[in-house]
Amino acid sequence: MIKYLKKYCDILAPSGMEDALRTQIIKDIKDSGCTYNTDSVGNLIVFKQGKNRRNKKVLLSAHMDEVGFMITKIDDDGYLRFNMVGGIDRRVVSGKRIVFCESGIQGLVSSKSIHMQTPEERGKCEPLTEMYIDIGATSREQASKYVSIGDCAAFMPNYTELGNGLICSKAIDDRFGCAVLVAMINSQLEYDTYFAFNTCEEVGCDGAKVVAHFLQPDIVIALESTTAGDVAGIPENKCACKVGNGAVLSIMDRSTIYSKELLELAVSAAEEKNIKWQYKNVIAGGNEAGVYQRAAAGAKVLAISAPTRYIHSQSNIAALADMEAVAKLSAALNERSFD
Amino acid sequence: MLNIMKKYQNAFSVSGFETQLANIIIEDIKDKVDSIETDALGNVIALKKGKDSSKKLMIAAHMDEIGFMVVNIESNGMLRVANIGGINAIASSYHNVKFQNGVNGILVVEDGTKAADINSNKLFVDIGCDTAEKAKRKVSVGDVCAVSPMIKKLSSKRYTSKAFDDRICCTISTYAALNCDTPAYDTYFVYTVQEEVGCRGAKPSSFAIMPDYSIAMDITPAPACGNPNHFTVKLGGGAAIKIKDSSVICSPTMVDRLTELAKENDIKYQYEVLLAGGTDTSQMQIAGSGSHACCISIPTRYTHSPVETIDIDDLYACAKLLIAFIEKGM
Amino acid sequence: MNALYEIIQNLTSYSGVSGFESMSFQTLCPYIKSLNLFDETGTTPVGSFYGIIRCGKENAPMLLLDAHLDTVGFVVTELCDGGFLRVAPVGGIAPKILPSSIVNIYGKKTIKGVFASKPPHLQSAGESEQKMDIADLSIDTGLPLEELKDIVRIGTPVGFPCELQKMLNDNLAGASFDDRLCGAIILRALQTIDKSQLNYDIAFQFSGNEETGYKGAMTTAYRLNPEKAIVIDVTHANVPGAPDVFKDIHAGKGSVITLSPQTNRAFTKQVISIAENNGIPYQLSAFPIRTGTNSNAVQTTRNGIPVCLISVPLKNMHTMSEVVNLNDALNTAKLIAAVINQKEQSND
Repeated sequence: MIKYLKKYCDILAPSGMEDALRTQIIKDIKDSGCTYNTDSVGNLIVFKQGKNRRNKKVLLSAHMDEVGFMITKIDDDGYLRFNMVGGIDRRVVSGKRIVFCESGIQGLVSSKSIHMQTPEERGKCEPLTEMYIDIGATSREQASKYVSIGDCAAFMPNYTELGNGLICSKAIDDRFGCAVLVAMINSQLEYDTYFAFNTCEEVGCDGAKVVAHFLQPDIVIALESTTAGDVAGIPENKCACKVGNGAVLSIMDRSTIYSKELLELAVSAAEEKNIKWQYKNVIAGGNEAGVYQRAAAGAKVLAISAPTRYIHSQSNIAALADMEAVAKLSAALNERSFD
Repeated sequence: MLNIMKKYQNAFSVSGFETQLANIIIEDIKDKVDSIETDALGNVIALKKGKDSSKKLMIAAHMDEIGFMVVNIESNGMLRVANIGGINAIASSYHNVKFQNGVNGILVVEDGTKAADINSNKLFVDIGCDTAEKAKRKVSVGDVCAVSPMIKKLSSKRYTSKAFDDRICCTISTYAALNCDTPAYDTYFVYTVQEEVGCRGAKPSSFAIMPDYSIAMDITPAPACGNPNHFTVKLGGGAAIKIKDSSVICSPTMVDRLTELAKENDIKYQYEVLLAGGTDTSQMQIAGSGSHACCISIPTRYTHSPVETIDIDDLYACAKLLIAFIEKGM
Repeated sequence: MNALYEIIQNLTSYSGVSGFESMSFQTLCPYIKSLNLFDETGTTPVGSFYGIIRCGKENAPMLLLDAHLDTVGFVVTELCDGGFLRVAPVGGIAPKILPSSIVNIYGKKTIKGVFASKPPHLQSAGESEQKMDIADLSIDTGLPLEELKDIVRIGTPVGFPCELQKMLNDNLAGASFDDRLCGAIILRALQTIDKSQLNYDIAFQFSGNEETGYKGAMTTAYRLNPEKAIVIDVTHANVPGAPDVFKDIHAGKGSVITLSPQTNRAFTKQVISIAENNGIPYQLSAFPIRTGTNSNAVQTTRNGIPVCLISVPLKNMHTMSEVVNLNDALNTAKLIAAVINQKEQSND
């Protein structure tokens, strides 16, 4: 799983630009004996036969896309104005390196340096309208040779292993989910299983909407990264979940009340196999599960997440052990017939 | 050490007017040092020869404290004063003050001033005279006063007084000069003047000495109650080895050596990162071609108030650490 | 340009948070010595490295080239549960660039950390408009507190790692260009001069403690006692939203020569004419008060040292993504070499 994770984290795939990642995933699964197809919006849907059939159609889902930047205007002097693709807090972008998907042009997000800020401005982060991307171009003409309005960029690939089994990357959200699914596809399965690698989750779970309608699954397990708030100065009861404490099971978030039945099944599977798990203890965020739950005829949904600090920034931090726990728990669950 | 402390705390020594304390110090140490002199600004510079005279160590503690200077004598006998150094107007108001010539007064605030509006422009001194003529017989424009001495022991080995900043470090210096064995290097005990108005005494004295190593002795603010954020030291936490203040980043080699000495000699220590405020350290660091400079600070609560508070255990820890460095060097 | 790039790559790889320059001496000094430029080298208590090229003549006057070695950064002020660190800034750093930034923590060994950002579900409306304070931020090391305590203590320096990134038009992004870049420029200039023609000594001081009060420059200049000095530092290039005073300084348009009461007018004019005569592009800037560089510290050392200030336009100063145009850097190196090659340098 880790070899996939590292590879996927360093691929550029902001929402709507997932082609490179999908191509890589296909390479990694095509010899596994699965069947797959790419739908009209770029979702990759995979079916892998197991040793047995089951009555329920079970889908494991992860999203391929990451947050990024899109050029909205090119200034006369060659600086690029931009907006966020997905929910990036503008306070985490200043000074960060980025790279454009198609052209490979490298640049950085910038704004006035501290010396140029007035005393009132000091300490504050300016509005997005005062930020820009610098690629080194000196005129609109020159910049236009390399990029154009609508081009997308992502944070510079930066997969790093920190101490204590932690990894840091721009896109653990949700490349880790992709890595878990690819590892599963390449393993021997107990039952027939569908897998989806979706596009455009960060801009409203658009990929999942189509997949849900197309597959009409009965049971969906979404593998996600979820915000871990266990950072200095945050009280225990507000942490949501903690890095290192195992796979996260959500009871409810802003998009979904999860299936009680599936939750109980997951908890018992975790206890049985001695897999470390935790509940998410705040009601916040949302993911594709909400879409699956209410699309077409509806489905029972569960989200198993890896606790991840600083999602939607260049430095997501997560523990390999937690990801292993998510992988084990989803595999354990997928060994059930769900009848 | 406590006797020296009490003696020094009671002396008069506002920035620019340090002679009284200087004379007391000279009396105290002159028999224990190889030479002693007072320079043009009034810095007291005492040399104790070391085993290795190729290197020089400078130790600086400042004699001066913040105070007030009479700038106008009003017709009703009240004295308008200006601050000398960074006084805390609120903390100093409604206290007894004493002039160098012994005249007593009280530092008060203009009638009708709201507490939040108290600043040094609102302060005046009442010495009990009701006309300018009478007042002028006691004091004249340009005379300086400071909060009256009042040193008290609190519970748990703690003392409170005005001007522990930086008399308490003069005490430590003197104690070290009297009690250390032969220093490792030629060691200059410097009692500087005019620190509170911008480290003015340390500059020429460092230039005259051009030390290889230098240690400033000063106080550092310790939190009491309320929001203790942004403070790395605590009262009773031991000698504070300074990492940085707003005027200096101490030489890492000195920080490491002091740490090592503290560990070897079982001296309680802590590290100090001070976000605001400067010390004589910076002036010693930049003298001539520069010196390896550091500062040992004694944690002090309520700095620049008439009730600065220290812990005696910290006092001894600072003294021990200083003596260890004087004797062992690098 | 490749030779210059290589030096930049080397110089930016060493740590050197202001006040903690000596931590990198063990690796930095051998590197500079390996360039075989200097007859004498040394370091000072205030964190400076210096190297001297002797012309071989007795009591020859000396031309000093100054760039500063130190960079902005942080020092650790608190070790918290969960492996988090609180820090205080060393030099001026805007808090807005910090959340999610990766830093190097120079403890017993160098470890990486990430400036924590507050999770969105804990943010209140309007919070993103409020002022941030570095004291309220924390660095996530991921290590258990006990393990962290073995590596880091209060006072451990923290800095931005330098990731060089090439951009269009020979622009280069990286950290600590202020002022390692200028050190690289000086070294490059010295590689190109003909040492056999010198009739005066040349000293290079890579001075410490600039960001915290120019201390390295004044003390090292005191030790070297030069006759004249050129201070090389970075200056702000125009960017969108820049105040008017920086509007006319453009990256890519050449070295910036500063006119200021804190520099020597005659020497500066001489440098300008050397630039003119050699066809080296330059821009002028005026600093009526302080230049914010080592120029004043050097100029007021000992009996006074005539100083010329040459700057390289830089964008995003004091961030992990400073941007320089390498042509400006090259031209600055050429200008320095041209000044050195003017044999009458010491006879005006």
